Amino acid sequence: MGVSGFVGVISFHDGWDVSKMLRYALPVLRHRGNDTAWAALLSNDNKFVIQEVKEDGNIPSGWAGLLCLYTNNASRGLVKCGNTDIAYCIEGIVVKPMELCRLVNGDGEALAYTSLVALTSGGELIAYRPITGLRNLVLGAYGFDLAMISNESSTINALGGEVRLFIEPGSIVRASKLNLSVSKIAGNARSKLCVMEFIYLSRPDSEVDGHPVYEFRRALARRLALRLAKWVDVDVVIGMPETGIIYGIKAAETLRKPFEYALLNIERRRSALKDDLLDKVSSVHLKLSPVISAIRGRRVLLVDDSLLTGISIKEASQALRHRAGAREVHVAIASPRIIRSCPYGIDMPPDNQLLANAFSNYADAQRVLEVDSLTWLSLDDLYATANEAGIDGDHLCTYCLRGDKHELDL
Amino acid sequence: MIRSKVLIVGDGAREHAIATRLSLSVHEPRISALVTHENPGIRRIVERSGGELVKSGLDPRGLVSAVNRVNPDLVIIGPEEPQFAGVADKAAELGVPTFGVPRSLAMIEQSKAFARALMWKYRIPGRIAFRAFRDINEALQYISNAGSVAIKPARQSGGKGVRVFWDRLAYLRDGINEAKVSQVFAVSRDMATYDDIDARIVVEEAVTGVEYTVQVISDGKSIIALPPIQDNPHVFDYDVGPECGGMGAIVGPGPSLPFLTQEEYEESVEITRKSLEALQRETGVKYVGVLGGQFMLTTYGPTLIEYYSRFGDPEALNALAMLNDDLLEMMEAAVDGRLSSIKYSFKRNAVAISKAVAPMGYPHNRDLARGRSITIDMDGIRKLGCEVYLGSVIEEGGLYKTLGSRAVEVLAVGSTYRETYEKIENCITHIKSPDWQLIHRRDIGSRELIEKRIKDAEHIRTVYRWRRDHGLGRVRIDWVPGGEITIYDYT
Repeated sequence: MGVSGFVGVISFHDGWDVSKMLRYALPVLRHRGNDTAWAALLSNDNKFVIQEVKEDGNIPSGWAGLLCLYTNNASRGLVKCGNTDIAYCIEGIVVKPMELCRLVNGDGEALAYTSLVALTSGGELIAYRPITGLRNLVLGAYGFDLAMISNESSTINALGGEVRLFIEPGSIVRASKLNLSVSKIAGNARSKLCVMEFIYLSRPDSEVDGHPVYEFRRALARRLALRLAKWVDVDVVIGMPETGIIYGIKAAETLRKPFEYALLNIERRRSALKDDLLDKVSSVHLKLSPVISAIRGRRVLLVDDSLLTGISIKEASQALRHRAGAREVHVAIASPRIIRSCPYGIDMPPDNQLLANAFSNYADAQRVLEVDSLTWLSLDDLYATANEAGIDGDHLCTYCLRGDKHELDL
Repeated sequence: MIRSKVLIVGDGAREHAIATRLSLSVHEPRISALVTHENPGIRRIVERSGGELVKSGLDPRGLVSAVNRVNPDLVIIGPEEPQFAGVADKAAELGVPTFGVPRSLAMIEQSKAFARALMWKYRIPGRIAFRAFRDINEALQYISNAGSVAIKPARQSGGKGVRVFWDRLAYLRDGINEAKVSQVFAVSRDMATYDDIDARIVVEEAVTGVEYTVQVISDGKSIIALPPIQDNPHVFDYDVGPECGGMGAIVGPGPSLPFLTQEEYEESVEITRKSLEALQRETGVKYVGVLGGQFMLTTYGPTLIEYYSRFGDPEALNALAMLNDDLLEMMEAAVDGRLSSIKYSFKRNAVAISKAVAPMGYPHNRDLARGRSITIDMDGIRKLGCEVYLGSVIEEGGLYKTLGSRAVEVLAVGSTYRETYEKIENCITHIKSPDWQLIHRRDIGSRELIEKRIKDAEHIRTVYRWRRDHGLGRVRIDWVPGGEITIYDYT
């Protein structure tokens, strides 16, 4: 299983080399994968040219193409389905390539936890959103010339296009020079949006089914701050780079405390998606350069989007207290306690490595993290935020946040 | 005087719709048609009314033979090409009153450069900046630094071939410039086959916004403005895919569109009227026929994209559906120069949706789209209350055979968008192909698309109103830091 960021582009007129656009999808989607992207381009005689792409690396030319970044190498590949070659990128639970063949040929089971973007050697761009709705999919266009499909709407905008449709769960999109169709696959389509997309996974300039991610985060931060105001008093608010910054700024606004840009990224990497512990700690250290003058002697509130193992927070609290001389370090997390690893395709450490699971007692968790206080958002606050955003609580997948033993109805 | 013998020139769904409407006239005209292919719908109307179907080129020679055979009192020209070819000129020469314009006036559609130059010369509002080129190298040199542009064939070529290149993100310019270059070559290649106008390539400043069509009927002195109609130029759903002749159009409720204000409509009618006057002054010829303005609500306000010297297709279907009056009487009044004295009205609360059904392959792979079979369950469609107009099809062995362009156009009229949308979609399920895939746009007329148009229009309205309030309504100022300041004055 694994998170990935993908985009497919097809041109309707001759004269396009879509690789020139696709290279700018790489920085847009980097937060959903590791450092290497994978690109599959279709040449004018409909042969695939496939290449792994590092930053600023060249992407082969083509009139149509795919690009993806991923946490799991099995999330992309090339498969022969009958006489047709199919290059694909998937997100969510990894399925066998033959299942993708069946899906693409229209005779497969509707997949529940896997989204797909694929390009065929017949020149068809195909994308699928799982019937659960857990993974996202959006269709865009550039003038009369290009169609684009991605799992982040901001990719469409970064490639110069305009969002035209948020694809519904259980729908398959087929675009070629001859036709474009969006059709539902038989199966019980439900709309369960992944709460983690809103909390930290998606870019804040994306929309999920038309719901702006930024607005959701702003509302979470506000509710978190209202909760905090009752028992925590601080001098300054700091956001954990990168995704915690918005929450920090918005929480500070509500608390009427100054926000200080006091933890700086040295290099931008996503730490939560790293498997190896040392890699993870390295990534954490690369985003924790403290601005000592803004911290020394102050009571600091550190805000982050989520807390899985707690490694980042612990490193940050130590950087703030030991190195920068904060007088108090309070921590606030803009998501409810994450207590179960996601079985539906989002990379998370196993249950026993989740801090909220290992230390169900708040006091213990605070001692482990060496913080003066630790505040999570409540599940009720999360649902209230969703409601505010026009998302029914039933349409939000919160499996990872729920302590009850019931499996979700997926 | 009521003319009882009418000759329609043209063989598409638009001409089928016009013929149908004329056949409903209380004056029971005898309807004949000059066609290149035997449109089965037009043929049936011709036969029923006791007219004749004359198969020939839609050109002056064809007209002469048709006039000799049917001796019409009135010629009505549907499409643009016969006008470019001088059919109306020939009709005038033969002394037959004609609804449809001669070559000199049809130039407003035939040459995009002429239309734009006319608007600049007479300082008609709704203009945008443009350049026309004959030399391909000059065009190539110009586009590389021109920013966001639409690159069009300088001559009307059946609604195909326009491409818009947004250049808002400078980092994407390499890929976009390559595509621009390919379009210049493609247009230049297509235009090399025409020798009836000078320029080959028109490059215009690209504008974004919500499109709509304003059509007026003119008798050379006054005009009747038809309701605003929205056509949908992208061939695929959700406004994706190449530009084509139009996949469907909406109007309503009543003579309005949900996303256009009355002020904007009136401003557009005014632009069209001024253009028509300028055109008549320029040529010294009276404009008798339809002038259609393809507009876009842009950051300048109502902006002219291009003119049509005839009814739009499929917009004609929607316009005629909204008209309460006898079309023959109206066309008579136009050729007699007494439009200002006739009474007319439009349906107050109706909604009309038209949709084109085309064989897959339309518009750019017509070889694939040609020679496919279509069956139409007319009874089923009639029961649902839609009208069917045949376009690019012939009848062969009890089946309709496609010729490659839009095969069938369906029209539904109702009292709400929801009702009308459901009706037309149900009707289209009765149109099938046993051997090929047919395409049509499901999204036209849907609540989702109309809501999107309203949202887009509101967004653009806020911008153009701000610009007008700040003295920028008719001005664009380009400044290259450290370099020159260019002021485009649209007043």
